[in-house]
Amino acid sequence: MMCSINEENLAAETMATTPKLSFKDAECRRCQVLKAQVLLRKTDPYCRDCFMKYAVHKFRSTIGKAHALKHNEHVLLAYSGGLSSGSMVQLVKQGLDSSDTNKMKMVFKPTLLHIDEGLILNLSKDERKATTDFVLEHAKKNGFNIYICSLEYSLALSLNDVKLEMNSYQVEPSVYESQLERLFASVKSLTAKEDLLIRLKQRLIALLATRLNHAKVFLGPNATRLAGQLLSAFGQGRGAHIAQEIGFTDSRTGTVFLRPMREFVDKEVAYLAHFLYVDSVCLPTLSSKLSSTASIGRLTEDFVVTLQSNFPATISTLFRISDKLKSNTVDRNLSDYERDSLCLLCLSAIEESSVCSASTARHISQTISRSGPDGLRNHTSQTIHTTQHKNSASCNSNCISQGKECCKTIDYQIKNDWSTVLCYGCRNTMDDVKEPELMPINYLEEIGLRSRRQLMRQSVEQFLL
Amino acid sequence: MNSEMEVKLNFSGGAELLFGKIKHHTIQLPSQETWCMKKLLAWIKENLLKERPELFLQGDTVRPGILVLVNNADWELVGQLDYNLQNKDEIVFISTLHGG
Repeated sequence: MMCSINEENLAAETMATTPKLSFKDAECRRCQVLKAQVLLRKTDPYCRDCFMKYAVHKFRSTIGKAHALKHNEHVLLAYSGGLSSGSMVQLVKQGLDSSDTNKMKMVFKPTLLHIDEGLILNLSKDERKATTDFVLEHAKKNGFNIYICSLEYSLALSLNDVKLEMNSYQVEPSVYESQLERLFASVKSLTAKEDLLIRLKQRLIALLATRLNHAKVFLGPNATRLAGQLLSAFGQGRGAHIAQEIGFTDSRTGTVFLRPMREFVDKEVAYLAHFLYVDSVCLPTLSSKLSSTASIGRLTEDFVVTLQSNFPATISTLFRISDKLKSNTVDRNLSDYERDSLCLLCLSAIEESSVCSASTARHISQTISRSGPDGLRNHTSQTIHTTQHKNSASCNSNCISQGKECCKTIDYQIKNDWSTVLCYGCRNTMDDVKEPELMPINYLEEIGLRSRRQLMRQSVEQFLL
Repeated sequence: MNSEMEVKLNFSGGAELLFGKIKHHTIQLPSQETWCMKKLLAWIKENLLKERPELFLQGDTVRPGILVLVNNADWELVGQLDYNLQNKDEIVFISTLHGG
């Protein structure tokens, strides 16, 4: 019987089927001459040279097979200073200088970009300076230009307000500093904080890429990180965006994000960094030195890494799942009407919520568990109420009526109704933000705008054939 | 005969956070006894590790996600915990976990 499996026996049996091979003093399985230095997937020993050939090939083929780059295109490389993006920069440099005639030279023009997020990590000015100095030094050593921008500017509403420095950086307080600090201080859970950080960083990188006229950006997350993100995406209600969040290309923002390190598991990255002498700066994150249950992201990472250490197929299995998933591709040349169905924060399509959908079911069960059957009755009447809101929201911004139904008063009432402007995942995050007015998106105006447009559409619909 | 054995330890990828942010350590071990990796890890825990031992060690081995290299080779190729240290060995610990 299925449910009567004795767990102890099961564990013993599973362990027994994993062969314990001894690789003591094994030789490389590829050249079969040199002594192996690397053991991949627990079964494949490689020497240093063969490993590097294997890795370089994998990197080039990841970029090549997607046909994502045009000849001589300008590309921004998002470089944090860590091992993964550091190795990426090094591999790109090698590819560009490649004098090996057997190999095609990589032809694109890279520039580095570093985002200084020291402020929200509570780093001192000196620590931030040390990190950016290291990043600058690394770029100089490799002969690349580097732009550095501080995360505060993700709150800027206009590109002109963003201070961006090339090949130099001063840690200076800006007008957005206190706003960003207050915003992060107002977030209740670490999971929401981490998610907010990702969204803000993504927004800033896309803004900067537009300003610098770079259509493509290389991001450095590796397979292990992405596999963790895959599981946390499910956990945070972002299942619908997995293809974009994990896949090689992500074109939600209009700038195309590419992830050329996505085929490397963390062990391979560590070897690459070690063999390429990539020095890294220690980058704390929001969850550094915290226990594994601190946030969903931290927990899934721990889960993936622990499972991977015993079962080397874990990550590739997760990847095969993500590669099969497709999200509704978002066309960039959207009309205003189609743009209305995009989330303001992550720019994914907002799933249509019909009467019978998983999110409605969740909402109802949440209402009942919080306030009992009475809550459900109120909830139903509230839904009708919201519809009324939408109707009255049709009065435009020049509205002069001082009555209760004026759009301005309604704006205040529907403050917490994100459903028309945010996707489910971002709504979960924003629910934990105590002071959403600190966000760089003008959501109140957008809610009004969208509902007015929707109403207009409904009213002309009957005249259309 | 020299009674001390010199071993170089490097921590990177965020593992140095737990060792007072110092990446390179050179340690002296009495060479009368044999030092296997298991014993070295216990020694590190006692003498070098500054905080949160559970983020570096799990049981008597390193936590999954931390890669160990012995003289530039994967420690799984030299016998992991049973490897006996030699004079002038270089051991590298690389944390591959996000944020160390």
